[in-house]
Amino acid sequence: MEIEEEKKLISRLCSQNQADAAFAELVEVYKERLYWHIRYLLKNHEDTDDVLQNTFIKIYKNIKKFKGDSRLYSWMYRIAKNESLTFLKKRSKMLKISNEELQSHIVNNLESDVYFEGDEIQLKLQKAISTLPEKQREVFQLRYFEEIKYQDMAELLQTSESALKSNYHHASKKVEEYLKNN
Amino acid sequence: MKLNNHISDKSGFKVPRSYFDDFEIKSFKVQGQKSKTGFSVPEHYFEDFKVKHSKSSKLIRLNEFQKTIAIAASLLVILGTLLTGLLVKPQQPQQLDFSKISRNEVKNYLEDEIMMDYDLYLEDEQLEINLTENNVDDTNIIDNMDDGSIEQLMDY
Repeated sequence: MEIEEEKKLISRLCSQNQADAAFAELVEVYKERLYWHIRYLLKNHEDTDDVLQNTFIKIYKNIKKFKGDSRLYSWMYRIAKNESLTFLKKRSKMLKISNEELQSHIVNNLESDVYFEGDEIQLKLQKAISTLPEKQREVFQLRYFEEIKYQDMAELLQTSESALKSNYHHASKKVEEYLKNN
Repeated sequence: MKLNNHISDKSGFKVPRSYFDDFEIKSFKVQGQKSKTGFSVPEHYFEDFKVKHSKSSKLIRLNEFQKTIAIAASLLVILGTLLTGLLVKPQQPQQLDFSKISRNEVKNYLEDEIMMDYDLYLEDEQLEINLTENNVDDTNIIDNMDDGSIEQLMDY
């Protein structure tokens, strides 16, 4: 969505009589992208659906607080990411396991997940990704699966392009190493 | 213009009838995601996706219900505490009476607990005395040193 278009949508979202129609438009435009962002973090469809719902409700409630310092999508992405991380924290607390243990628990569940149709290599790739540190995992997924440009990623993650390239390089090496040795 | 555009004349290859009419970029995108990652979504998930605003109103109702339960529970606890206070007589606190402790018990305690530490102190003191008496000769020191320490001394 172009900047001008985005500004118009935001002003409609903040107005009383057009807010609902504008919000329906926003959901239509961004639901799929936000869904996949959340899905790569949580892996499971049902959990993703819950978090996506919460993300949109939070966006709806807080749109008036959006100051326009960044692009609308970056702001929504951060809400989706925070909601996902909060969900994961709650889950690890509930299961009384560490975040690392939770990652491997989630990936092990993929084998019996009806909404995971990956083959052996794709499953192994997910296992390799689950061993990465949080930041590297995020960068790797954004670049490899969603094919987001470093320039756009820098805006989303508020990180320099060179740092992101370095993160992706290290992550790729680790994934390659894991796939070779396992 | 060909009537059967789902069949290629030259190669003989064919595609399903009306394939090109139904072809959508959107479905290609979803398929692309699926094939690369292995993740899939239920059929028509994105078409049917709606934000359930009622979720928040349900939450308010649940909170009100929880509040009612919490208030009722608090009242029950307060009532229970008051009734317990009225019905159950408080017990007198036990007082310490040193006259009931026999002399033997005190003596045994001193011998077992305090004197044991004193014995240990005495042992240390004796060791110190022995060392200050200069009764350890050079041969004894060398015999008690390990090989590493001797080598270190030789280096000096």
